Amino acid sequence: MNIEIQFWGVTARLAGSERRRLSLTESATVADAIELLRSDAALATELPRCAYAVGADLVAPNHSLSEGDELSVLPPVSGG
Amino acid sequence: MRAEPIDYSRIQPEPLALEPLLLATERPDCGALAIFAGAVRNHHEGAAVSHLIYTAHAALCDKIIAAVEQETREQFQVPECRIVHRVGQLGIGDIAIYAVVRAPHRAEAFAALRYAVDSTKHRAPIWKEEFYPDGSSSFVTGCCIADGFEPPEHLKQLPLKANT
Repeated sequence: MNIEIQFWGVTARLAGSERRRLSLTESATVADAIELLRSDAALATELPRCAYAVGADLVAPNHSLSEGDELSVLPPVSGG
Repeated sequence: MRAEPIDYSRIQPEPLALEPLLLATERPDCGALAIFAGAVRNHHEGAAVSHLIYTAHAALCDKIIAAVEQETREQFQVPECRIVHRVGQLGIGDIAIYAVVRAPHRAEAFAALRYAVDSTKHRAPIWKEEFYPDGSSSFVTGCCIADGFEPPEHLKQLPLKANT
């Protein structure tokens, strides 16, 4: 299946783009997507500090992904 | 008695207005109105700052800030709590966040306001990029959402005696 990664904050800078398309196996989880992203050396060190969301829901690494999901990569926040 | 709900976004690209928040939270049973305004300052950790750009995951922010407002109301037993945050480019002195709390008495209003602001800063998916006079920039290192937010002890409970 294909999903869309949306990078936020510093991860967009590290990824070189705000969006990236990932191809995963049908039963893939968020953890599988993270594992694939870890092959990008620029992102690898930041990913353990990130949270993840599908749509407007925070999701855990064991969350199952579906075709067409948009997975947000949320680095440490700094509002206010 | 509860003020009428207003139709507003918690994440706004336009300059923030305080007046609608005050009007929407007016209550005759609240003697305390506590307001926090966070303004952009011209320095950070010893470096001069020329301006900021805030970005936010608006849909997730709206959900998380709504949860913070509800937690604040329930935990501190205050009837009103509203928070709005600005995104986009902000200059020095511009307001980045307003938090408004109304309560019968000031003790719970102060405590609730601090909890609301700290929780928003720690949990809402908002990112601050600082720009410096030489044109360079960097993202401010923040708090990991994944770690959750454990409020400090002084925010977990109200003072034993709430004065008028």
